Amino acid sequence: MDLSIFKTDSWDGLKRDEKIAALRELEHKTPEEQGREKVRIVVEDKLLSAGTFGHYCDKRPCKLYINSCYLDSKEPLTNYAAMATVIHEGRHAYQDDVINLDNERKLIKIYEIPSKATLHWWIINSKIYNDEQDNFIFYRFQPREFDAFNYAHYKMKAFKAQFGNDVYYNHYIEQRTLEIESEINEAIRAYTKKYRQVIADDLFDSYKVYVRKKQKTLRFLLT
Amino acid sequence: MEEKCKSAILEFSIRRSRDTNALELVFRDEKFSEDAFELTKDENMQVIIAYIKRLISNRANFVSDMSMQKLDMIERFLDNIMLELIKSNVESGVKGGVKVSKSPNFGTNEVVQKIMAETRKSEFISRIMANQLNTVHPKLYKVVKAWVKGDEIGYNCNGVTLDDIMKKQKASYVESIFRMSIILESKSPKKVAEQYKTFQFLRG
Repeated sequence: MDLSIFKTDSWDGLKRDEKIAALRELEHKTPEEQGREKVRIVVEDKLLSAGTFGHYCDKRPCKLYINSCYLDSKEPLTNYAAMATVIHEGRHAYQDDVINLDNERKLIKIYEIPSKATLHWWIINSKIYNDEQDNFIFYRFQPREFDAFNYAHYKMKAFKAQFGNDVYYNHYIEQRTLEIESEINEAIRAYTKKYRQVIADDLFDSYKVYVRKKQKTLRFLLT
Repeated sequence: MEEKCKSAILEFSIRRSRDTNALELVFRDEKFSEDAFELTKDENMQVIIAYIKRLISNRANFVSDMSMQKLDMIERFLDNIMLELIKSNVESGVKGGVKVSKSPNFGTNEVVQKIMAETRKSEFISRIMANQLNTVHPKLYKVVKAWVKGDEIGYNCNGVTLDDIMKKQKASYVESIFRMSIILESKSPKKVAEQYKTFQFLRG
């Protein structure tokens, strides 16, 4: 895929449909690298609030929603933020495929299998998920989001060869790095240095309650 | 005790603050300045200062180690601090133009319950957050204390308010205090506050 279409001077001259096509092409490139299923990108006008760039929906057939305001926006860095969102949401699709690997999707080939511990937390987090209404820091560092944010930033930084001569790209990476640093600082301040474990443990407590309820319902139905 | 305090006095140094030009008394890692000092660790500071003052009053103890002029300065400095400590009775807040803060204890059950109610978080997380409130920047103690009493007072650091943080991060009032703290803790709160204004906290 020719990524130069995402460069600021190219992106700004694109029509809405061309931007959507570029993002779809980007999304279809990633599954080939990861061995996961492709996900359809849908542009959403009403479902997503202003602070939400995208959303991954795991209901079959899975969809990846992109907030329409970012396609129409003339704000600088929107091109790179849109790319990062597609990669971030695509990572959720990957997590979803990995979680369901033993169930309905035995035919797909996942190239990168996470550790058992990571998978354990992703499964718990897929049942107990703190959505966008929650405080950003708690939401940000739950296991699946932590991984998706990290993955997207890592991939965006890896595009330096393609976009390194675009000042806006460098500014985007610099800005994101600052944001991430400050988010970690805040998490440490609120939840101690073990913030990831604290958040994961809290999810696990809720998961245990969830499992107990399920078991209770099952026992009720069987008797 | 006498030897310990004597060595402590010998480790005191007095200098002008680069930032405020106020006199500062530096003792090991603790820094006290003449217009704003914070007692964040040792609640028994009054007792220790009184003891040091008594030692200093006998100049013979130090005659070979320290100049009389420096001892005079330390004594005057300690007098001022003592006066303010006695006036404020080591309570946090601004009294007599001198800010005195003592180590807080926000990790109480009352605070835990309040955090649970306001953040809808579990007791486990709320207890951690309550304890972490003890680690926020001392300038925010009065904000936390007011919040514990039921008041949400405003706080502004270079154009970033607690209200801004609440809106931007969908945070509760108490959660926003942690972000304000990291802005205040930075080497340049002004710069970090400006950076904060550009942060987006996008979700996906």
